[in-house]
Amino acid sequence: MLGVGASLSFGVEPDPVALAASPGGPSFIEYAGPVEHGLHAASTKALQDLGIPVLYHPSCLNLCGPHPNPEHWLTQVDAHVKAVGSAWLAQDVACCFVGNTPGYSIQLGYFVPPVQTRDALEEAVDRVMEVRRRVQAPLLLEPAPVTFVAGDMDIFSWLGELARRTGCGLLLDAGHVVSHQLVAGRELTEGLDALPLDQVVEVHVAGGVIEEHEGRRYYKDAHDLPVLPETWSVFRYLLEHCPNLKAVCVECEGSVADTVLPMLRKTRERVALGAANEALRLKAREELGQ
Amino acid sequence: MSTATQHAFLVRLLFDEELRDAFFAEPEATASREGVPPDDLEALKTIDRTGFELDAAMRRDYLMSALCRAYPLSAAALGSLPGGPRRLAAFLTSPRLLADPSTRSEAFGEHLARLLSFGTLMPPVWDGLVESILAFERGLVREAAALRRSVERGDPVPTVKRKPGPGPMALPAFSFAVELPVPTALIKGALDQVSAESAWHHISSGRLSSQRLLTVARADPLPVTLLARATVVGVPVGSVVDVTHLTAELNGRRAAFFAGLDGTRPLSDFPRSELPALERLIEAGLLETR
Repeated sequence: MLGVGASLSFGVEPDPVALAASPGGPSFIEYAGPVEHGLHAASTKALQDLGIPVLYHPSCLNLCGPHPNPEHWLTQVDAHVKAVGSAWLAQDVACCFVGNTPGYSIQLGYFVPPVQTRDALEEAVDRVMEVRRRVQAPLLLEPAPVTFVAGDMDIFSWLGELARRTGCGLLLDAGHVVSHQLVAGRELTEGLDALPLDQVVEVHVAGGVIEEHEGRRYYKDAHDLPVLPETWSVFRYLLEHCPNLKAVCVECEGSVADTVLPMLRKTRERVALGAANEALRLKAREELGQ
Repeated sequence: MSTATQHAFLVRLLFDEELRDAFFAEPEATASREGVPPDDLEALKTIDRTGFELDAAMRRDYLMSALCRAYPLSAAALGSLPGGPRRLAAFLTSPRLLADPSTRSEAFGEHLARLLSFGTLMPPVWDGLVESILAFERGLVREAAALRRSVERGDPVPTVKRKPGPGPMALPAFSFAVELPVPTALIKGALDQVSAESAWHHISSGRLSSQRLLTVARADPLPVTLLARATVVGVPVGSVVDVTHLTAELNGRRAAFFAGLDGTRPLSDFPRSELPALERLIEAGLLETR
């Protein structure tokens, strides 16, 4: 049971190690970063010495799309997960690179979201199983944020089937869910029951912005801004309906350092009151010092 | 149905503004022209254009910001011309956009050089100034890429020696010198104090003035020589090699002097009046005695 933690970047403020050492700091640190685990070895060791678990959440695997993940790339990811003792590997279901040379999603500007069709789903099963065969840690699938959708399948049905068929867990980002609901023109929690919510292991909550263009609303991630009320609504629903939830991560990259601890506290209060998983509720209360 | 064809077309649409315009105006005709079969097109026809353009814009801004970081002054100069931002962003349709970051950065420099060679409709003195700025910025990218490749090959990481010795003086490896007709401070001032981090933001705002740069280009020459050396920061980890540049801006035209340092003459061979400046360059790591 990991409790309430924070997603941060090593080498930039707010400093993950300093925050983890602070009273009321994150109970775990989630980070992205290159597949070479040695780059942040000093920081991950410092966190381990503090007794703070780390979770590796890269943006370098194709979990959908026609471009396979090369064996050597998966070997490096597996080595990274093992080296830092990450309890699981999680990533957005998206395309991070095209062609035979693996890379990171920033080279495409951002994740390229999946085409939501039956054929693309079959392809995604292949991609996910490539990873599952090589990386010896549980894999959590996260829906990427979107401002458009291609395909005729609903994302929750698509993702739910992908998770069931590959035996993966799920990581649901409340803001990313908002993005899908706005694009689909649905209510904030509509259709979420198409997902195997008992397979949700981690939930993200983060700042964002809703923009209006041509009479329609679109959500964009903005981790430096406060969490939107719409995101809190989805977050509450997920807390109440995910019985096996083990970790809640507040995404704080780019945030002002002074806002992180109050944000963690606010999130813990919500978890302590609303989580369906009693063990998680107790952990949150313990983190609050109750 | 080919998911590979469908996916490739989707990625092209994300980066190619002209193709996007054509596709949303006439999806079937455009897809047919691009060799995309009707079956592959079905999932893409229902894409909401506004949402898709939002995604494309976010991706464009992210990538252009990253690309212009290495060429802030030359990109800003070319971006200040009518239609400049669009011509710079045309690089996003290049197949080399998807290459590794070093290759991509060098390719963007070639793109800027091509834009300059197509003619800017500015007086030759403006073109000449921008050409010299671009030569310097391309030199920084070229030497950084060469240093990374050298380290990745297993060559020893060059050490920066900062103490004058009795041996012959030379330009260290991964160094170069370029002359500019005016100091960089004047160029930056004309371009709204553009920086590596702010370059694309300045360019895309449309507020930069090519006429201000023309004023600088037409002013009385105040030539300077820029000397630069690529060096490794910290210890390379796997394929992650962090490179920075030592730089100095010297009054006058000195490129021929530095080009003539063939590693045969000791410091003591040079005129006494030049020794203090040469010793400072050695202490700065920009020259070395062997």
